[in-house]
Amino acid sequence: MSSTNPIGRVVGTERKPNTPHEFHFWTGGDSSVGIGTLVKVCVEEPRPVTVYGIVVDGASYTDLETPLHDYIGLDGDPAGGFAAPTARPEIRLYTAAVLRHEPAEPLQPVPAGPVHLLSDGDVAVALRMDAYARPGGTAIPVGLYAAGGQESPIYLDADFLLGPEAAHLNITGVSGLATKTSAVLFLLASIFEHLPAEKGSVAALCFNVKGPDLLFLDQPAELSEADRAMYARLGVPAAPFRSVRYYAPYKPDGYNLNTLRTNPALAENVEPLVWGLEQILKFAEVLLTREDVDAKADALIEFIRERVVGRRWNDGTIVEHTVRTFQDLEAWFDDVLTTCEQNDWSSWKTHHVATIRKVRNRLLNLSTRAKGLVSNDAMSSDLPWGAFEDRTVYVIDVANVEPEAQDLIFARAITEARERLERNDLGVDHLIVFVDELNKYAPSDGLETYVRKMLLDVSERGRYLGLVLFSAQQFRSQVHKRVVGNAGTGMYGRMDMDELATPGYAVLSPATKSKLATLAKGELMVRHPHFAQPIFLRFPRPAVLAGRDGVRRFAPAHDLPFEDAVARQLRRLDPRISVNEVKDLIAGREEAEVLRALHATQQKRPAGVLAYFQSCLKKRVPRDVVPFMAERMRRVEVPEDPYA
Amino acid sequence: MLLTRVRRLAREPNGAFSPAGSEPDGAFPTDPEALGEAEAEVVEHGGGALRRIAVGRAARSGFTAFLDGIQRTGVLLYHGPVPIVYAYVAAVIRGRDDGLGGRLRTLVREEREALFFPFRLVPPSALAGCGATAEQMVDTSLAEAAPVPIFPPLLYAWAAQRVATFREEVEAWAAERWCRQDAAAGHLLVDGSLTLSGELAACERAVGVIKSHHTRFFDGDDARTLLSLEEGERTSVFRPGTQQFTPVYSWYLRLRSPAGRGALWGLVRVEAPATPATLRRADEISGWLLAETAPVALPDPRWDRMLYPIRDCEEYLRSRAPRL
Repeated sequence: MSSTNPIGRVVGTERKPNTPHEFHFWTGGDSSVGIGTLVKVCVEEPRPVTVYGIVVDGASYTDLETPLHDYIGLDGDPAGGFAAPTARPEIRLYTAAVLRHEPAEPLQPVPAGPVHLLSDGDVAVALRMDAYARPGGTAIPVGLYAAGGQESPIYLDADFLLGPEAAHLNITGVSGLATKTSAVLFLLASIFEHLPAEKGSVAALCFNVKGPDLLFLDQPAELSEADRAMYARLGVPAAPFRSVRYYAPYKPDGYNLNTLRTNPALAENVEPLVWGLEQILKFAEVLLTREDVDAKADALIEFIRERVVGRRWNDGTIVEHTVRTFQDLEAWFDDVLTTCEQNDWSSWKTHHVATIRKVRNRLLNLSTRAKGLVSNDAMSSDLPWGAFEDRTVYVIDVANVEPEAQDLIFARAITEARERLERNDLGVDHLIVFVDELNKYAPSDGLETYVRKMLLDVSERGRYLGLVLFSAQQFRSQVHKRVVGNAGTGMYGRMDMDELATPGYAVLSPATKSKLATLAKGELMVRHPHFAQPIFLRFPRPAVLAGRDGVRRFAPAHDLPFEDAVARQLRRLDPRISVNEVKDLIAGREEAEVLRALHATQQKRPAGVLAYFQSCLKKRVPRDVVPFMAERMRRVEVPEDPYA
Repeated sequence: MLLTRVRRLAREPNGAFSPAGSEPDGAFPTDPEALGEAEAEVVEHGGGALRRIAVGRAARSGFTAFLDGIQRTGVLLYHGPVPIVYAYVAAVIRGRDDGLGGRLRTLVREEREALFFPFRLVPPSALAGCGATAEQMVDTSLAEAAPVPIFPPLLYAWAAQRVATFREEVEAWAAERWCRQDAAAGHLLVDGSLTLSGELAACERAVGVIKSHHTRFFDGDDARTLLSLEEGERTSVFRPGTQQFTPVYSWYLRLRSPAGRGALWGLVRVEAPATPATLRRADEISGWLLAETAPVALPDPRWDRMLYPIRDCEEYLRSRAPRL
């Protein structure tokens, strides 16, 4: 039944019996078996049975009955007085959790028999990958299982990773090893390469929440030969992502992008992320606290959202309004309040004046609280909603954005994606959203926030829509259990022992926990619906430039003065434009006017960039220079005594 | 209390008493008939009185193989009042391979089963149903004419006696097979007497170690000499008077310090072929035996005299023996 030499034998005793879900076997001292090794037991009699298992615990002992016997034998001297000619036998006894029985019925205790290591084909059977890791299947390579000098590819099932059967991935591990981000990037590359065409198109939306982590996904990394060999074995190109688009809000100055990807050599695919009133009003509660929004205020905000914004309004105000920007909204509020004052009304359309004043203050303050992201005017620079492209990574850099603005970006981007996927209007069939630091955005305790509710919704309903959450955090135990519980696939990098002591890891054996606590960089434990037990595997370093290396190679540009910043952004649209041309055009103009023109140009992306930019600026009235004519001025005679 | 006062006596400086420690079970048989005495002739140093000779522990043991046997006996059936005794006997020679880091592996193994009963009371044909061959049925009747009493304890005792012989035959078979190998096979250490077989007793590369002391060879000053041996000391070589047909040479060797223990603690009797070479090599062989005291054979209760490789053979045989 097996062509390989056995490496051990199943042994059952009354004290340690074998069961249908667990068995024990011993090996020679020089065997390559360790925690996480996949093995199989093959017996022919009384009926052919093959049982696959994974080693979850191990013990070794000698024929000594107590440590005291060893102490006596060495006369209490650890170095030993003289060498013993005979070595005590030392048994290596392992416990394996059953992965699969072949045949599956009748399900019986594991029989005594020889134990073998697994071949590639055996690994596929043991992990039930044979159902999808076949030509035309839905296998997504995730890494290599290594044991006994051989490496076998491990595949996830796309139907259980991206839906509809199950979906979502959660990865946990200590910070600092780059395992979480690296694993997700490799898996994204693998999905882009291996997702079958009939499963539709797929894109990824990543939030860069820490430093320059995800800012160089389109730049190649230097890979070792071992990494390249792993890429080749897994059938994933060792190359950076072919299509990556970056988005970042402005800094509070409104013209320097708030990102570390500002090196001129990389500016070509970096877009500003700027939203106006229409984009964010729906998410006002993300920025407003409970103290800000009581039931009355909430009713007025809803009224404004439903009946005012984006519509012509001439009901009960002095003038007609079409509210599209914060400036428009301010004018509308002022009109309403003036109307109330003039008519001595204490309420307007059932809303008390005090409530109107309060909501006015809170809403108009939004653009201040998320300055750089939220624009007062009609400027909007957004992700390409409706035109997402297949196999493209969209990165929003929120690393240096205020927490409230970060929340707003998460809420708006993910909600928009969900709504568009519901309407089949995103441009792709599947969108993978990668959110790091889930401890922060979906904590297990604390107040209910919009972002947490949204992540819960995605994790519970996303798989039907094609909205897939890839989430990461340092402490899984501190993330809302419905978010991690809905993740069909789980990955675990090196873990902290305190975290492993929490109840969520109670199903793991002490030896497995010990291995998790000492995992090397590039090693993971993976849980997947097809795998009866978690599997340890290795994956290659991502083929993209690491954030820290990227910042060294592509040093971020310094913040520029206003004129230079405008010129740089226009030159990004048309490199032929000279800085001096731009400076001459905007000299003496107000910043707000110039920014409006710049944003309009960025939105339009016209063929003649400079001409369009100029057309957006106010017409300049030529100034007549009045010559100094001192001789024509009448001298004023001041008497010595002005009261004379 | 007398117990306390007696123990205090053992602690008196320069006193005539020493503490007995805790003797292992069975160190002293309670049945006087189990004990015997025999003549012995000192053959080393020109004969005469028994001497004590200090020997050093060898840096490296010259033994490469170790032999032990086992027997399991039980009454499995009764034919009327007659017990049918089943016996399993086995012998093993385990070899030590330096290439395996000092681990032992099996070189020779022999296992046999048989049924023991008096044929005159139970015809062998009565047991044909179990498929036992003629060789696997042993008659325990003493002699053709002697009466066979229908007394189960006695019938069992006769059977047990035959089983011991059955085991010795297996041990002898294994030992002789080993002795026929060339000298490169090294030296064999046998658990027990070499007199199992004439071929073994004459084999220059075989040494026996007897752990139990049921026969008295010396008395008087000679007895005091051998019982006062210190750790690493041996007696002069002597020829035991018990072995007329398969003569061997023998000497006593103290493997472990008897301080705070009984007089027989760590004391073994060594047997080697009755040749001049044995006289020359008694120190060397003793040094090898002292080297074999590590690792200690705990948790065996006879660990003061049990050598670890012999315990390993026992454990090996026990792991294979059927449970009765």
